[in-house]
Amino acid sequence: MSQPPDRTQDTTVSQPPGSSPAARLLTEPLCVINVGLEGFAQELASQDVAVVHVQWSPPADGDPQLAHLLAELGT
Amino acid sequence: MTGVATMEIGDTIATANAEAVRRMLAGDPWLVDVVAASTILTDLPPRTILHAGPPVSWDRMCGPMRGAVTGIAVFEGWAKSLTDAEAMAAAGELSFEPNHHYGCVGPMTGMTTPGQMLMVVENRAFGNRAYCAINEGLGKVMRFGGNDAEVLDRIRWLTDSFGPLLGAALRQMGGVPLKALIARGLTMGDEMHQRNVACSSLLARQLAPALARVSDDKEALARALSFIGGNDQFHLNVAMAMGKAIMDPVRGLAGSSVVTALSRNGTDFGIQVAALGDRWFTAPVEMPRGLYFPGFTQADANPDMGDSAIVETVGLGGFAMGAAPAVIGFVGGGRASDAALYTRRMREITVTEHPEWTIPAMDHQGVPVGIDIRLVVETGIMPTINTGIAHRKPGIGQVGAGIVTAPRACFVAALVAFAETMGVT
Repeated sequence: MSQPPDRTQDTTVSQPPGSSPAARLLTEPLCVINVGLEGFAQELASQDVAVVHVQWSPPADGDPQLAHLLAELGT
Repeated sequence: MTGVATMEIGDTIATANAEAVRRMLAGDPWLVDVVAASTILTDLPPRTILHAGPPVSWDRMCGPMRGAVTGIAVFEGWAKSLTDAEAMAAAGELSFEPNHHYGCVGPMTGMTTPGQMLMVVENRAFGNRAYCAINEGLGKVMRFGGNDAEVLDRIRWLTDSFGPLLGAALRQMGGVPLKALIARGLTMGDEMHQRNVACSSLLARQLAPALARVSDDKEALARALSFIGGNDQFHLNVAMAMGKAIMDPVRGLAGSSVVTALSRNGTDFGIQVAALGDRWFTAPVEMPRGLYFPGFTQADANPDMGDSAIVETVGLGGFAMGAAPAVIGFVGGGRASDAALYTRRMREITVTEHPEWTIPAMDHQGVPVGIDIRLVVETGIMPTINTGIAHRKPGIGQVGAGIVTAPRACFVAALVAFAETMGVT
């Protein structure tokens, strides 16, 4: 039975210049996931950049004592 | 504390909270009667007025609460005039207690006194009862601080004519089961706080034949039916007594971090938590964000008040916004398509979903049930409450409707106290 080709060793197919994931950030339209501060999402949206905002904040608003209580209380 | 001990505490709380929501979901509330308040408030000290929210003294009461207090004191015959009543209150000749301390709830100012008639909701799964006065209708009413002759005359009619007739009808028909009524109302666009038009209509449909059977006065019957039919919020007070009847069996449940009451008196917001019994955790109440009737602005508004947030406590009102896209515009909450977002957000701070109270437009997702104070503090998501807005001065009434959130400080204080009961510091 033949084995599937080992793509990690495949050097026969070279990528055209500018098609790496990092390079595509500069050449293709962006869709941004923004986590935390909503202002960044609003700024992008105002420039017609597609953005999904994820509301997130540190547990208990970052209060270490409350975070400790919550951890002890099993959340 | 070790990881094992933390896990044990977490498991203990999870087990207690599972029991809390089991009791909530097993609740079987029925509207069964209307009775004279004097027959159930037998241990109420003389000249005591029950009000909405956590305890508040006369000197800290807001304008509409003071207006209602003076009005109800005249209604009870304790004072000859509103001015007289105000002087009595200031002199300490009237006493004040929260409705929740006596098995009652009341919307907005929430006046409950021995001379009124109270609707009775019985939780047949647990045998407990809860009480709420009859909704007065719209316009100038005591729950928004109204206290003139028109307001007092309506309360006298509710006490002398409508209340006894409604009580006789309920006894004749053996009561109205409310769980199924709520389930149906959710499919018809009610959230049971700021929109009760479907449930009020469904209730009227069930009550009408029994009212006709027990009435020997055509005009009294016609006025009663007209009163119910003309008041889209008639069912609100029924839903509130139902909420109280559902939550009271959870009160005092050791190890449970589930909220048993959300309530406001126009000055303070208060919450109660299952494991912490009747203790209140309070913070200054916030101003609703909303829409105002023509001629009024936020400058006229009083901060939020009422025991009515007991409906949010059982998963309705702001928690069931997804069922009521029509109400979101009325309360200034955004677009109709945003309604489901409110419900989804409240699901992040609750233990479970209701298997019978479901929302068709959300693929029959159940309303969020069992507010866990730990999740509120952890996420920073505060319970959302749909509410009416009263004028800040006594005697004027409702000026709008809106949305208010419970203050974070209530939940932080409750969490610290809850942790102490669990041996965590």
